[in-house]
Amino acid sequence: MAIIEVRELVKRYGSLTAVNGVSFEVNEGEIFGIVGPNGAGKTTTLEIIETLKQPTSGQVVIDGFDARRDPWRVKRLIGVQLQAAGFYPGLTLRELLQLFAGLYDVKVDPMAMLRKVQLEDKARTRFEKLSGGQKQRFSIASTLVNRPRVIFLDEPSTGLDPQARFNLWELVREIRSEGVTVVLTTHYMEEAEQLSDRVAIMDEGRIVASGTPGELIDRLLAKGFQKPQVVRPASLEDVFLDLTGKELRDE
Amino acid sequence: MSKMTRVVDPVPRVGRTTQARAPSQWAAFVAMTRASFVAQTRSLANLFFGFLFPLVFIAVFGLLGNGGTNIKLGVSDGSDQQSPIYLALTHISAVQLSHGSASSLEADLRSGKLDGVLSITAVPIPAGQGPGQTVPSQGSPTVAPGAGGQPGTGGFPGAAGTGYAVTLTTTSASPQNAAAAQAFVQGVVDQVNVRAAGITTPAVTLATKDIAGRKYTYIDFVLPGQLGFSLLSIAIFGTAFGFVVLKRTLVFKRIFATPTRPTTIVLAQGASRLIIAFAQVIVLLVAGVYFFNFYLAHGAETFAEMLLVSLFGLVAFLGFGLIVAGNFRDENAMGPVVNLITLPQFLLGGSFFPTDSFPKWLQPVANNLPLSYLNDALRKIASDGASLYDVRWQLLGILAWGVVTYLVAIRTFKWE
Repeated sequence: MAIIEVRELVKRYGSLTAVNGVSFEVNEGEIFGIVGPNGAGKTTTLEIIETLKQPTSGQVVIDGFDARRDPWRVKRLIGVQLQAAGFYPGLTLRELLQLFAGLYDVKVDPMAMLRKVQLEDKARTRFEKLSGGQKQRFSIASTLVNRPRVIFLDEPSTGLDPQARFNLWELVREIRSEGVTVVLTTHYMEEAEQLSDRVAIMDEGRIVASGTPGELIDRLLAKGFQKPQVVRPASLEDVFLDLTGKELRDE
Repeated sequence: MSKMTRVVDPVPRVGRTTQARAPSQWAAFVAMTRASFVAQTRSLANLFFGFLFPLVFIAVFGLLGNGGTNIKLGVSDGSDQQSPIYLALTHISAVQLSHGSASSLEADLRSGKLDGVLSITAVPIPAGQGPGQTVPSQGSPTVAPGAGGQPGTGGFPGAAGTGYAVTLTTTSASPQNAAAAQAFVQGVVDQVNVRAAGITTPAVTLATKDIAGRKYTYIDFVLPGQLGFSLLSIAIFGTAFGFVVLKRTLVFKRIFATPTRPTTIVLAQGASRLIIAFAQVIVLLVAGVYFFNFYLAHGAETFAEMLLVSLFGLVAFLGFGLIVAGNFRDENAMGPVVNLITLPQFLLGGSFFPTDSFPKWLQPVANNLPLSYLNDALRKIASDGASLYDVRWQLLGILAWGVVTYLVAIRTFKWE
């Protein structure tokens, strides 16, 4: 069943239409990927769902609550990771998690949360001092403070090396296995294909296709599409990971 | 809203009552206040403007101001150091004597390091001649001790039969200091002459009475001014830069994804600064009282009143900080505007110079700045023992600025 329903969402800034009639549903417990080039409207769509922006028209319903009419309830149901940091400067990871616990008015065990994302030894480190992969892992941990039903990850793996990305995927799958629905945006088709149960492809403010990665590929092949070159059974990434290993090494 | 249709939800959730209001903001307020406080204690700029700068300033000027007025006199080499004039001068604490060649002392006089240069030479006085005066070129008194051959009456060692020519050189470059030095030396010379003449009961006596007062030193001016300065710094620099950094790093945006109201954020930011200001006022006042003899008219009561007025001032000053914070999104563009608000107040607000030292046309401006009101109130409370009621006009002035700035801030504030 659908935990998120987005209907005919439109967002205009003056003459620019950033989101132009977007509708989709996200099922409970799935990983839903939104892919598309820069400026396609992915982030704007996410921010409207997250109650951070008001749509020009259209409707968002999360777990039965209208995001416009009931923003406070919706905020309690969701966890949000922004594209850029968004963490109070000068505070340690532990202090940041305590801050979020206060903001959501919930009790948390910061050390347990950090352990989950392998950052227990960084509890007294400031966010600014973390590596790229560590930042993203902490960022995802911070979305779980209020034990949300849905989390939104905006380009979580941008700028990460293959090991860190691989590790991040594991983390996202683990969170999903605990019953949390995940909505993420990405530039990387490989990531969308590997990680998502279903994918929506956005371009110029519209969703141009959606379905499981397999369905979308089949649809293309059904049109008679053929890759111009012979596909080898391994990619350069496979070579890279074979040589350098899959263990995380950003500490 | 007109396009919005009611959600037809297949699950029974559709019947839930809507919750229009935000949930309790107390936990969020406490968490935000704590975060903002911790972050501020780790900020070097805050530490510097809030504590270090005012303390150093108070230390420098607090020590400097305690000596009172001194007359600095140079005594040229070759002067008679056994002369009664010289001995009398060495016993006056308000006189600082230095020695050197006539030419080097004259250079010091020209450059203002000395108020006057003395040369004292013994001149033999023919017997029988009474006290007389020769007047050398630059207003120099001459001492003629009592007529020779009257040992005992004058009572100066080696004075019998010897007179002294005292030449005081002053400079017209600093007429006030010249006049002070001349009056001083003249007084000493007159005294010596009177005693040399054997007069023990002068016809005219001057008695001075000291009324029991307290010594108003420079620290009593400097400390309240520095309190005002640091409060304004925390309120405007701290708030404006603090907010803009939080905007730019998307901290506010992330917080808006949680059930926290914008008002809660502003209140928490204010509360954390109030805590810092509280510590600041206590540190500066305690340091002032214990190390620099800062005077509190009614002791602890005055201390508490100053604390209260300081916090009131801080809350009012936050309005300026919020105006700037709400209208800028990066620090570089904001810098000049912050300076535009703070610099005139630092210069004209009576923190560093008393406002009555400004030209007449500038005084209406200088006297009505929010910082002037605060400084004025703090000084009246500390030095004159004024009550909160006595400084009501200053408090009203601060309040008026607060109301105006908060209104502007509320109308213009942008979170992104």
